[in-house]
Amino acid sequence: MERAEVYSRLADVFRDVFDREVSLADATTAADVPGWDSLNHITLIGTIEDEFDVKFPMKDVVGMKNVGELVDKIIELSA
Amino acid sequence: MVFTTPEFIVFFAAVFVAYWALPSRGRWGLLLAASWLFYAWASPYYLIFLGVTTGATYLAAVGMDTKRLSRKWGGVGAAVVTIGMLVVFKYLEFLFANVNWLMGAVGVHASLPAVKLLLPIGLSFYVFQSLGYCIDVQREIVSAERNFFKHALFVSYFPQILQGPIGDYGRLAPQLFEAKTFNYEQAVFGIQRVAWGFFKKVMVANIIADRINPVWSAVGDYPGLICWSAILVLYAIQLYADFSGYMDIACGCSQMLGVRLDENFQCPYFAKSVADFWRRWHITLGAWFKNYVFYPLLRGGLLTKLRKRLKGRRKLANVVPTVLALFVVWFLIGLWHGADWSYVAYGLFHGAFIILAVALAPVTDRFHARCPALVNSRGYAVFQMARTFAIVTMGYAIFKPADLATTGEILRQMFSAVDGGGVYQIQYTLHHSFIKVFAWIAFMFAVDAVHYTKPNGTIRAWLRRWPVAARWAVYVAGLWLMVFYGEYGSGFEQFEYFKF
Repeated sequence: MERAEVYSRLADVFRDVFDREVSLADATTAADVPGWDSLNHITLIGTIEDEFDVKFPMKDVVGMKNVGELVDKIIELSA
Repeated sequence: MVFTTPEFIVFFAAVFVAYWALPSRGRWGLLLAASWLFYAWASPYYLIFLGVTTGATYLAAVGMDTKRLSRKWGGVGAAVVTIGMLVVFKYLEFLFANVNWLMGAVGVHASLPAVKLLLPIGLSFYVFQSLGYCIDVQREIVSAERNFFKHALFVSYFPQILQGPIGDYGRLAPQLFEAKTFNYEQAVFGIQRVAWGFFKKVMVANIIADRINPVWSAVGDYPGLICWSAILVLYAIQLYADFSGYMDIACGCSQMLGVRLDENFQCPYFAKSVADFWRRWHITLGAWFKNYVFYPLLRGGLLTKLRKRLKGRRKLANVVPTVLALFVVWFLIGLWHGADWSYVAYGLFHGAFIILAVALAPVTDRFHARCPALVNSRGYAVFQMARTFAIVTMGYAIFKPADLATTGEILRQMFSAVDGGGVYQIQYTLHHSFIKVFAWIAFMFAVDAVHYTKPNGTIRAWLRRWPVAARWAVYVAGLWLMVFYGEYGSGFEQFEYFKF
């Protein structure tokens, strides 16, 4: 899967979860997205898993630092 | 051994000198011996619990890492031993009493004995720290430490064993064992932090405690809303000064040894919501529950199935599983504090406000979008802080008495007419020590306000730029004030969170 495609589908997921358009880049972190806090993190991860049909190990759920790492992981798991 | 006692000062001075005098490779061994001595000081009997926790988590972590144990059973084994020990020594009496009550309610006579076992000090803290490490090994976030004694130091490191901060293995362990050279600036920063912790304890927490402690054994003598507002606000400040003062001493001592501990406080009474409060108060406990209870619950089969079942109704699918997981987490956070329904009520009291905020998020988001000027104004921020402080302070009416009947009596007194000798007594006490009580509180919060508004700049760095003579004048004046005006010694050795 191409990164551009992952980003496009991720933008839909973020819009669904946070109810607003979110501009995403590799360096985007939770601090840059209003509403992306510990309460919403698992909802977001679960929705991404459903969208891409992948399952993140807990190590990545708690360890991913930014959207770039998230995209890398999605590509790795869906390969 | 308690931080604010002469024996600790002697003990720490000896450890500090020996630590930096030793070559790097011997230092962690010294820290381990010092940590065991520190912990055994109150009672050598406590070492048994520390030993069982250390042994069980060592075997489980190494077993999982070497694949001799499956990750599932390694985690289960560590949890059964450590949480089992906590249940037996902290919750057994509570558990038996509730089983007896429950059986009675369904008409079955049960008389499980009222076993009151001695709770080893710090058990709730080091059990959580070492269990968190095992879960991190299980999740393959860290590798298990193969050297038993190094593992033992991670579990028992003396600055944090009695009251936390609950350490994260990935951040703490490398610092304990790496080669370090003495850093004068870090040592000075550490001493300053220790002094600030002593200030909070002897000039704020103890002074307030001395004035309001009589209230808790005679709550019926203090009627009136104003009276109870004053008492609960003073207790809120006392608890903060006590617990964060202890953390300052712990973090400062550790910094002097070249080891940075995780921060447990970040200006909590400047929080703008209850959720924000818990990101600033006892941070490491909140982080522990988030990583090891809240996330696994939400990712567990039950709540994942529920979220998928609600998929057609997106907002419900987002909110309902989160609310259910929050309920469990706040029930457990309450219970962590103590074996009494009052602590559960305290946890659920905070949880209710957090759940309410999650449920009302669509409404508040719309309000924030429509009124950006108001929402971003300083006045609105002050309103949010005052509202959060009022909620947190009300919570102490449940937390401090640790008995729901007394909480009920406090609420009754709050809304009854002012007529009682106790009110005049507390007015008289506060009036005659107004400067002593309020000047130091104001000073403590002024420092917090600086940290809140300038989180990246520190007062210590600012102080460092002062001329040497001026700096030493501040140190000597501070020491003089604490020695002559502070309250310490017999009756003031304990810290509020020791009982947890």
